[in-house]
Amino acid sequence: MNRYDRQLRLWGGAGQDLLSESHICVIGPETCLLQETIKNLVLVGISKFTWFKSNIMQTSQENNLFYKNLIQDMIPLNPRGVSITQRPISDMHEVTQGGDFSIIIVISETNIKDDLLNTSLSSMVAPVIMSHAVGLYGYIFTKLFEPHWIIESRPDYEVPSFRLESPWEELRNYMDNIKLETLNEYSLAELPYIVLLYKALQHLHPIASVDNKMIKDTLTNWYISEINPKGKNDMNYDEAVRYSYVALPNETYKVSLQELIKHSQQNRDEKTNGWRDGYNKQVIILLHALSVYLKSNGGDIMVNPDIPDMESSSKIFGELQQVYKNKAKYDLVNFSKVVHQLDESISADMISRFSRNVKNIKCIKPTTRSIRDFLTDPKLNETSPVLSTLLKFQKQEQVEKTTDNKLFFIGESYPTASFIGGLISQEVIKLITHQYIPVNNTLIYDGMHNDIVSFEC
Amino acid sequence: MSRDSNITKIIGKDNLNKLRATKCLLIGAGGIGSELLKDLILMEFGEIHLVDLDTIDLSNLNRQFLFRQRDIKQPKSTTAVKAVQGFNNSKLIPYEGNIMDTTQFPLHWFGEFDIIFNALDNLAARRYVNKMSQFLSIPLLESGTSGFDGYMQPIIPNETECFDCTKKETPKTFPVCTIRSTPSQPIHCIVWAKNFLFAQLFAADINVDSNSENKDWGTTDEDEIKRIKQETNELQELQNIILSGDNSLIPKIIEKIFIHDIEKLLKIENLWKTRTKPIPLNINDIKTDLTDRDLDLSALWSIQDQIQKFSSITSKLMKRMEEEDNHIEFDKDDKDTLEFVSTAANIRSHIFNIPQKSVFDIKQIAGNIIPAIATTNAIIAGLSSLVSLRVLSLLDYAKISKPTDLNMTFTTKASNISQNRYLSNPTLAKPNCNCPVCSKVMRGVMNIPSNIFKELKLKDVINILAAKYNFDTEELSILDTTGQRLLSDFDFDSLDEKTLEEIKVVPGSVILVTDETEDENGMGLKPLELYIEAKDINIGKISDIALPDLKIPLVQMTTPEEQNNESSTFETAVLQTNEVINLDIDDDNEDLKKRKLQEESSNATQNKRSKHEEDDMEIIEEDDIIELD
Repeated sequence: MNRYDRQLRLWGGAGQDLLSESHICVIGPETCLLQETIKNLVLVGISKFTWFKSNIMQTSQENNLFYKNLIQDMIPLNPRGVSITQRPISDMHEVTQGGDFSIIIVISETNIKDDLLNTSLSSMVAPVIMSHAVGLYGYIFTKLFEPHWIIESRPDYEVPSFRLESPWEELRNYMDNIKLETLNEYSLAELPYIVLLYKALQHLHPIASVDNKMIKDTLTNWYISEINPKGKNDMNYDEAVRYSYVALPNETYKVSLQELIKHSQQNRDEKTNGWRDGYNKQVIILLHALSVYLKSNGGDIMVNPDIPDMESSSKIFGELQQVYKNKAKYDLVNFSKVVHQLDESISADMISRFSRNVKNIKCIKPTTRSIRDFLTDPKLNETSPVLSTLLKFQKQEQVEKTTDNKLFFIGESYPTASFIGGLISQEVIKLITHQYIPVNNTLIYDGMHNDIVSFEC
Repeated sequence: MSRDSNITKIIGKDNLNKLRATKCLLIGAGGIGSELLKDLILMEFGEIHLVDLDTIDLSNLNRQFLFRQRDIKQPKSTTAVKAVQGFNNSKLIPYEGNIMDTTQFPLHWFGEFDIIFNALDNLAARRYVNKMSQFLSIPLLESGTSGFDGYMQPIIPNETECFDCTKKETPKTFPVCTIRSTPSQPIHCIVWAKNFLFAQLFAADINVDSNSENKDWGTTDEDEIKRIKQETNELQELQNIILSGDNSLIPKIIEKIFIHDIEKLLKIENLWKTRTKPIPLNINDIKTDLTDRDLDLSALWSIQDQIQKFSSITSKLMKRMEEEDNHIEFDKDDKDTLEFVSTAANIRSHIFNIPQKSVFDIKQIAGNIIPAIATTNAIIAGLSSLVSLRVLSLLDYAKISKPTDLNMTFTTKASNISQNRYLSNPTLAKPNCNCPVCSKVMRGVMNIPSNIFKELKLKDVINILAAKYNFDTEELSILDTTGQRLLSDFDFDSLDEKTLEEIKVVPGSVILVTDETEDENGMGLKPLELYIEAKDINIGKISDIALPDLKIPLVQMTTPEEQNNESSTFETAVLQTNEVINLDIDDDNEDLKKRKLQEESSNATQNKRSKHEEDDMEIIEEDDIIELD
């Protein structure tokens, strides 16, 4: 049990490895916001930073910094040590010339080199997070140069796929061996709800298209009326009614999965070779393998080894669980074969995580707008006056003080820096681990009206 | 520090003087606490009093950035203050202690503060501080995080919703028999291993007087009592083995709990009519190999490995018992105790045909672990410290006209692609008129001379209260809200002749007094909640007892239905993100008879009928719904 115990529960060992191997590029003057961001990232276990430091420093700011010697003060926060290499801002061009950065964070920087500003869809540039905080306001904007693929998007809730409508042999045999008519009310009460749903589906057979209402009606009119009149208050019956939808073939994810596969194929044809992110490249290969696998398996995805808890005797639940585990293992072996025919270097762990999360795969497309566009687009100014003012401050342009915007003129406010610094590092973690869904792509905080909005621009 | 600092620009010179004179109480020096402490000193609050009872652990260091490796095992509050001492401009006062300790932190101590920041990690303390803020009308900034999610809620007593205005997840309880006899899920075995087995062997008081006449068995069935007594005696024998330090007897322990006890259960045939029968361990599987091996903590071990590990860890703990005064508490970060509980739970799961769990997973369940990262804490602490300026009316730029203009904040979902919202920040709601904490009771302080707690009988208190507020002594019910115990009501008067000291009503206790008389319209006197404080008078008399001068209004006693405040919907949504189960049995005041398990005191009267049914429930309080550490 270690130092990172509490966060391993969020992103696991694989995510933590990606973080500890990462190399962060930070561009900007030393501000509270920059200190906060680096501190948060060091705490999660990142140890390598390159900081293109500009010396533009508003007077009085030094007094407000929490860390008096940032580079030294960071070292004890990571047992592996922390290396923050400081570089003059004039070397910033290196950023677009094949640096090995995992991510580039621009914090309150005014002078951004043209090659970074103008790059739109070029490959080989790490994701860039632009940010600034002034007074009670702040923003972040994420610019992606290649698609960002996420296997473990970790939704709050997932509809389980039990394959009741298209059972494989072992599952069908197991289910068919349970003969409802021979069971007494006690034994019926301890059948897991998926058994009841399977039986209801069988009873409806051979009706071509079954809907949720038909299943519910069958549970009442057939199961309760004919099979188990005393079962109305049984917990398993309750669950069967509540989760009746899992008996239906879930087509929605298949549609979006096909879209992702299609999208990945375009990616594959075009420019994956030019991508810089190894994780993204692997996902493209895995999706290609998936499309091959689906064709030879009648469109069924790999079975998930975990089934959710349900009211049941522990014996039957254990047996059913085993049926799913067996199939999941079998599917994983077959899928791994397909993957390894395409690329032998993909790890078993990666394949297994992909397999379990097929329904959760997400892709965020590259940001079309260039950073220059973001900084200068007059239309953006109209839609978000707060963002427009923030950008003017960042670019050190003249801003006329009005009653509406006077809270901009108070320099850095520490709570705002703490908040925005938290947001930036949160997004960095999501992008580096390829887990959870990052903000796409702009977030604006208005502490005056206590308003937080995010939108794609 | 510069006199022309940013905070001056934000709030202005006049308000800065007010801020410099502000005393704030920060409860918790963990994840949010460290962040808040930093933000508050950079904002130049005048005085910050920091309370924490905990010491620093390795797994804190991924977010509690004021602590270093070398600080492990040091108290959090003093270490945090030391870490920032060099460069701060605020007066910092650390306290090591439990905020609910009424001796160290009596009500009047809370009264010194202008604002309270909660950075706590458990529900009980959150509710307690909320109550103190209500007693004293001090604004409270409540906050919590769990993984990528978090919330922050300002609470302005009498003006806005309090912490208890929305229902929090209720304690999860399992019937005793599920835990002791018929487990069906991993959690049941973990509860058994931690709260029953471990507690009895290593953390129980030695020589429990099992023959005590006043013992509450939760049943009147003689046979049942006999069975429980026998079980207690047998456990005593096991505890004696542990205390003997003779590790050659370890197989005996295994044999007793994983073979004999299971065989005994199997004899109760009724239990197994509709359940799968457990299969006791095979005696041949019990080996005396006490080597301590390192196994992968995130893997599932074979049953042989479980048994072997159970033996070696028991041997280790036996040795520790001698060194540690015959008392070891379960601690998720104490590897020995965690592995004992994990292996015991898994062996039991094996016996009952329940899936096993890895040590890593059991740590999360048994230790109430909530994922925690620096970033979310920074976000929530930033928002909380910022809103404090508004709460204290120091932000002239963005003044609020009424407390309900303030915002709370919670993450709708820290990662979000479809709905374009990152955080929700609705304005605060008015107090929920059904809230048992802030709305349904009158509140005040009862001062009792400290020397008469051992003479003053509950009956005397009843009479004094009745005389002062025109209560009907026959219809009066008194509840100790701290321990959720019924002290007296119309059909329960066996404690009336006892002294306050005997029934553990002490300075710091909060009692709820309800006159259940109703008029023909269902109206009755509003319940009265009294905080008991000790008055230091040399030789105080009953006549020195001081009660608040309150005019108690008539209210509707029985509401047709408990109406839910509309804001409860979203609140619940946030809080349900975690299903963490706290496995701590609350076994204070065991000798007091009637324990009330109700969620809140004012419901107590309505549930009299169910009292006996509830007596045989084992209480497993859920806690830490959202981690605020």
